[in-house]
Amino acid sequence: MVEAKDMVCIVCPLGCKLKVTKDNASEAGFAVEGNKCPRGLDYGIKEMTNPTRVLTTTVKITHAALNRIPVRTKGAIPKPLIFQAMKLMNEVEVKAPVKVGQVVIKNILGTGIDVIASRSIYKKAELNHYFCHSQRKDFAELII
Amino acid sequence: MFNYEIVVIGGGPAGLAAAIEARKNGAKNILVIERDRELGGILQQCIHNGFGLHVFKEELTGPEYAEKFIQELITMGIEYKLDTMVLEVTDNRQITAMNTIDGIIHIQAKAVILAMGCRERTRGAIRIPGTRPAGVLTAGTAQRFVNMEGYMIGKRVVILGSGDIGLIMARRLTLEGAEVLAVAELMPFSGGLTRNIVQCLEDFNIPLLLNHTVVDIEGHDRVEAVTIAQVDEGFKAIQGTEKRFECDTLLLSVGLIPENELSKSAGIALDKVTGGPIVNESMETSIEGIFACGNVVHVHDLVDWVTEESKRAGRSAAQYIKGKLTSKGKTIKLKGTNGVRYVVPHLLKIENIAESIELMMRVDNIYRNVKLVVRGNGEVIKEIKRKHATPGEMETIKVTLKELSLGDYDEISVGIVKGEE
Repeated sequence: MVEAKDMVCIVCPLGCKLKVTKDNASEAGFAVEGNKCPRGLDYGIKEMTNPTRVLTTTVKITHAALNRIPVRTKGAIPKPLIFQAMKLMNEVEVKAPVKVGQVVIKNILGTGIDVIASRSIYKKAELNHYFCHSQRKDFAELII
Repeated sequence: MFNYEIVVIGGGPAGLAAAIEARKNGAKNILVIERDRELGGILQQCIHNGFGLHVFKEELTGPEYAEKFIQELITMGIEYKLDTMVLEVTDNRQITAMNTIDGIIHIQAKAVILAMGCRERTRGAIRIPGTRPAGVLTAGTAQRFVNMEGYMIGKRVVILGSGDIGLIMARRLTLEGAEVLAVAELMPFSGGLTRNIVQCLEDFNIPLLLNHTVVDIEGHDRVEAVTIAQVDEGFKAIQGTEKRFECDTLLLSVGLIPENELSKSAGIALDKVTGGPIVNESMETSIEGIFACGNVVHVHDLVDWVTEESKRAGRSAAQYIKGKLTSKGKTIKLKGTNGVRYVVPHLLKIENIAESIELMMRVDNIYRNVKLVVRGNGEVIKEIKRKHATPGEMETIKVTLKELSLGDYDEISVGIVKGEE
């Protein structure tokens, strides 16, 4: 394991410059310097032990006006799994209609984290109805 | 001729928030006009997360952020027209628009809200030398192709410009299997957020070349290679520093321009620095009853601030049609000095400010440990410490009605004062 590492915290736009060193005396096993808030401490330790990221990408959708639907992991997944996860998502195909928050892949790569749709997409024919006018009750019901 | 109380031009985050807020403040007859086939604007292609931290206190993707507003708009029964292009807005608030179902339509509005957003600078705007093959795209166009239409735009990619869209696309294309060879940036610093440099470039070992620009594009039908060189302080390429990258795609993330063709044809006064309309505390332009909000006024980096600003425009438009917005009384001029490039709004009418007002501004360079000082007729009204200020991140300062009434001010300025280290 690396003894010390310099990094930039990505928790908020401030971008604190952190120095994380191995410290057997502390509970987490690491000491963090340069963080201006406790979230930076957590981030620094996590980057050394198990760095994670939320993955946002798209999957194929059929019967819709668009060819791709955006999806995201509901929580952060381990960084080394990102390309493996991408490979899995590229094999997935969903069919419209899809609602925002709908699970696209359950428990991806055994992480316990689901992949969910990050928007609603309606069937192509349905969408065409709404092209020009508004105030259609059925559309309002569909979307809510 | 159709009649509406309020017509909102543009159904992106600015238009949606303005229309919803106008309805909440009593406007009944509202129409939103959108030229795309759906509402949501550019948010629909921004599939990465980080939206909504201020407004919803959670981290959402662009489409999720948009959908919250679209649902609210539909639930309220606010009318909208999709696939509809506005051709003209006149100074007496008549709008000409067209689509394939209604044909050409004329609308008389009591108030108009301009929310057309912005567009990307292209290769022509920065005059890159070389041949003109396919494969040179703006980053936002590439984003739409990849994230919505489902077309991969290239296999080996060089990106010019390190604004947030360029950084986000470097990660996006890498995830989709392309090789991003380098991100070149003309300035000595990135225009994007530090966290994006870390999670989009460093996570994937993509080199960021500061003080570099593209000096040649090769290829006949398709891009075959791009040459990048280091630049001196005058942004001139230094001979002997050229690096040639064999690639099939060049992405440009070289800035955004507020889209104001309609504003110009209406005769609205524009600010040379922002490229958008000059607005007052109510987000009203130089023409009475025409309001503007979002990226059409000045380019924002966070959609959350667009929402806040647009709510103010929507609220003001609703007050205007009820005759509750005053055009009388004293007007205070606002301006940026000493490192502050501009301040929005440009003008303040004290009578129309309820409790406080948010001033938005951009600095011209990277600063550390400075103070943003608000002065009225030269005397200090307020000082705010900033550990860090960069051109890539918009600054906001809240000033209260009490602070604005400390003296009988004609002009308020915001400038940077360097603090002690």
